[in-house]
Amino acid sequence: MEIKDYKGVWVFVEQRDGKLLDVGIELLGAGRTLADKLGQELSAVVLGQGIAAQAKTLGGYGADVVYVAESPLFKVYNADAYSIQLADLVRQHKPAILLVGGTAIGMDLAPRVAAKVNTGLSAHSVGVDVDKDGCLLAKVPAFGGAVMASIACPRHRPQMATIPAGIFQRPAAKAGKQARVETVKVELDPKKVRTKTVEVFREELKSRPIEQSDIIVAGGYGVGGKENWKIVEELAAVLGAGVGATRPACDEGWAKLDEQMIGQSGKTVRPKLYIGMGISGMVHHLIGIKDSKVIVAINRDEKAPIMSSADYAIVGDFKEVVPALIAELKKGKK
Amino acid sequence: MPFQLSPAEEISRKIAQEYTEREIIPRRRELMTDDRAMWREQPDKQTRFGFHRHIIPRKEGGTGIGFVASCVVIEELCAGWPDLQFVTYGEMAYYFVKATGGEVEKKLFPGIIKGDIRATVTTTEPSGGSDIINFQTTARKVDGGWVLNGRKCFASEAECCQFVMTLVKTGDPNDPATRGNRALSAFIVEMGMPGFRIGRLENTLGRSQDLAEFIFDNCFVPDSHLVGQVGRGVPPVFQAVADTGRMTICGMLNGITLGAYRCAVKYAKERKAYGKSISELQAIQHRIADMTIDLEATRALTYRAAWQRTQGRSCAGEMAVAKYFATQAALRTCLNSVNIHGAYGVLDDYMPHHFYKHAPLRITAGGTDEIMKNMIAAAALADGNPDMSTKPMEEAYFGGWPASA
Amino acid sequence: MRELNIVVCIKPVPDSRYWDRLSLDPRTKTLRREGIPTVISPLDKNAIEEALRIREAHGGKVTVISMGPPNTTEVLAMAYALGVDDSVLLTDRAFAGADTLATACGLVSGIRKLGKVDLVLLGDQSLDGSTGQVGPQVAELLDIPSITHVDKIDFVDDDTIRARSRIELGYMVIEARLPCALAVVKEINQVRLTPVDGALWATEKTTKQWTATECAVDANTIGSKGSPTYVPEVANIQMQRKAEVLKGDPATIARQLIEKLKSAGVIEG
Repeated sequence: MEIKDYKGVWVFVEQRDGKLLDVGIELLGAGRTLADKLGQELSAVVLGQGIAAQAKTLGGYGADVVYVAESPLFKVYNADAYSIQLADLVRQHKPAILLVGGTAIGMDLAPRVAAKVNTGLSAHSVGVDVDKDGCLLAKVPAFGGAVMASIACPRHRPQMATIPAGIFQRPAAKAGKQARVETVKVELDPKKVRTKTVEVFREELKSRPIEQSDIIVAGGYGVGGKENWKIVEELAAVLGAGVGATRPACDEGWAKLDEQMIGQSGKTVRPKLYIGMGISGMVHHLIGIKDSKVIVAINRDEKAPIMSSADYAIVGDFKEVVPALIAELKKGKK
Repeated sequence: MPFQLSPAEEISRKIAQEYTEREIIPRRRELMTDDRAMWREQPDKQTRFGFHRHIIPRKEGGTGIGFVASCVVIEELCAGWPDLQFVTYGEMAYYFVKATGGEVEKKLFPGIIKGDIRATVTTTEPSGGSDIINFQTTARKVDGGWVLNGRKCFASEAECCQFVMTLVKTGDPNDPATRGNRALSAFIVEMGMPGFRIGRLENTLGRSQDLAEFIFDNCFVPDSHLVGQVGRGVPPVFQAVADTGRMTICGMLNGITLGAYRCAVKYAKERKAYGKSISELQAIQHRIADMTIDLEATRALTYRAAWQRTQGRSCAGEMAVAKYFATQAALRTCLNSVNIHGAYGVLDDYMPHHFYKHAPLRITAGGTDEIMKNMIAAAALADGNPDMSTKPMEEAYFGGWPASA
Repeated sequence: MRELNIVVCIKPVPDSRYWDRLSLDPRTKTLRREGIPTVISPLDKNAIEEALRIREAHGGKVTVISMGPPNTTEVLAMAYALGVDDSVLLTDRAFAGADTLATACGLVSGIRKLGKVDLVLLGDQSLDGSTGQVGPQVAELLDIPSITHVDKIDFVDDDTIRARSRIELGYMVIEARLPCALAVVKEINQVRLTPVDGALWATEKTTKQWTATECAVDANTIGSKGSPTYVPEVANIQMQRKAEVLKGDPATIARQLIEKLKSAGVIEG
């Protein structure tokens, strides 16, 4: 492939149940930065059905072009349908960079497209930039987040990366900014679709997603038990905060994996205030909170890793400190 | 003699470690407050898993990997929680039925291979364990079998076993041919046989093993349940005690040594005092060195005796040396581990406390320190040769016991 | 139910219990892994377990395939210990330094050499790289359908499976015909304890070793040569903050902290 024939930054914006996901919009912000550095166009790609109206709004988030491919085959994610269509678009239009939101579906889709067009893909990227030659450099944590690797894809195009939700901030919508909408003629052969989705189940979220909370109170394995976990929840209630957890706390059954786990393989959060207790501070959790404005850690061990990564390191037993905090906060409310 | 474990023995250790890490270590907190927490489920789990099959030849349904593998497995189980191993009782069941043969072997063998049937040996009486000549429990010949009367005590893990082998008096005090050791015969007695029951269960230091009293009250056993010949009960019983029993006791003691050692090393690295890890202090380093020496030495002695047994050679002397040393090494290592942990060493929510509590339990099991030394001295003095592996098995046992009256 | 030929792709990874021994070589900017024991990646063990269960239910054969240096056979012996029927190691300098696409190319050449395969299983993500890319890419190159994040597999008939694929806050149940590839997550099963007889299986069976030539694979598609991506740099993660320590009695700490948080503007007051 001729590298110089490939131009433009593409962002695949995923839709589920007819609604565009936040992560796609976040990536448009990142994509805009890259496109400006390269002096090239930013395009959004949307696959779905009855999605054209929403897709148009992506211009307001920075997209110069929006490719909309509509078909009943795209209503619900299908690995074959999506990957064939996206690979076709890539071959046709030759983008230099393709970013995909690292949802469960995005992580399924991206490697297939990369294999189909024979290019490189960086997974779970927590940062992307272009160097002086216009090549993409993706920052990817490895070994559970112990180290950060830089990944480059010098001789293949497009340079692909998956990026999880919450890594980039959602760009502000610019009123009046319009994108050029390209309606894709879908010529997908249904015989090439080899799998059939027979059931889709989605739980209704009973509470606000924690990544939307301004304050998060989190607990880890050191909380020690279901009874003690109530202390975590009580503090959160007094502060109007979301409740987060580390993986071991979810494994113990004190918190829900899908909704509450914060970390490299879970949620990335950037609250104004994060308070963690019973958490030692393994790197794969810290990566999920590193952009919080203020980090408070409560731990009996002064040398626990989380303590040096916190703004305020409280050395003490959370079972004593947190009730005192709650009492003090309640006093202030009166 | 090979100086390293064979690949099959190494992998057997890994398998035992995996079992311990999944089955036992996660429940340490529970065991710390209740030693007996897992004694109901672990016997079945361990023998059904097949750990006892290492000492059973492949053609009989075992793995045939041998006695060293058995020691290694027991070591890992006991490093997980001291004394929580029931492999011995699967192995003993195998030896007892092989020694008995006939109807007993036919009936019980399939269950033993499957791991449903375990057995223990019961010889000790209130009058004494070492002084076997003066046993009071008797077996009187009747038509088709024998009637047993008396009491045995301090039998290990009686409640998890389906049968026992016992040593009782069949001799006539007036008949010179049935005096001394020849007064004793061995019998298989199954749980549920009328007239046979478990009496008291003793509280021991470190309660996870039970020591039981057995009561024979006009208990009838058929002829098929006589082990070997009348008046020749000592060899099979002491083969069981000296070989299987003592070898597995070495494994248990080495497991206690290993467990105490592992937690001491871990603690020494993590614990900070005077601004640095205590593992940088020479005093701690010397204790660690002492523990390492004890662990290396006790393993070497135990594995050597076990290897010898796998070759089919007598190892009574080597096993006595190994058992004596294993007991001393365990006591020293446990104390070192407690010392390294400081105050935490005696708290009951830390492991050193528990290893230390369990080590003395094995002092009298399988023969006291004094009996070990008697045996070792007798073997050494008998032919003036420090190399003990020259005696056929039976002679070695008789050589170590006091001459008949 | 017909007998199935199942292949499980497994990756040897450094044992995570020893990751505190990992060090960064500042000169070469690569990770030093010496002295860290190698194990089968945990989710690949779930894949082996699932393969064994399918074999127990339907009959058939389970073969594991892996890529690595020759001493990887020690790790693969533990797959024999679990009960797999056959084991293949693709070992060749030409395979080394591969990214996910080149790894998939290598694995596919080995799978093709095994003959007709009904089902390919592997872990959804590896312990160290955790990209989750090799499964779908192996499927693409084999030109078979595949499903990721699988926590349940059911057989509709001899040639059709339904796999439950976990997505955020729910799942999708997807039907596919064999042959297909399934990438499994840990929730799918609990891996059995290695049985006691495993020590015999592991020492008596040998792993076949195949070179790139024996696999008839184009050398330009494998190893670092065949990798579109490469890693110019690895760095330690820095996460230092001001770490102001608060100690003392809980009531005092509480008062001090709340004051500081108020002045930082993160709580009201």
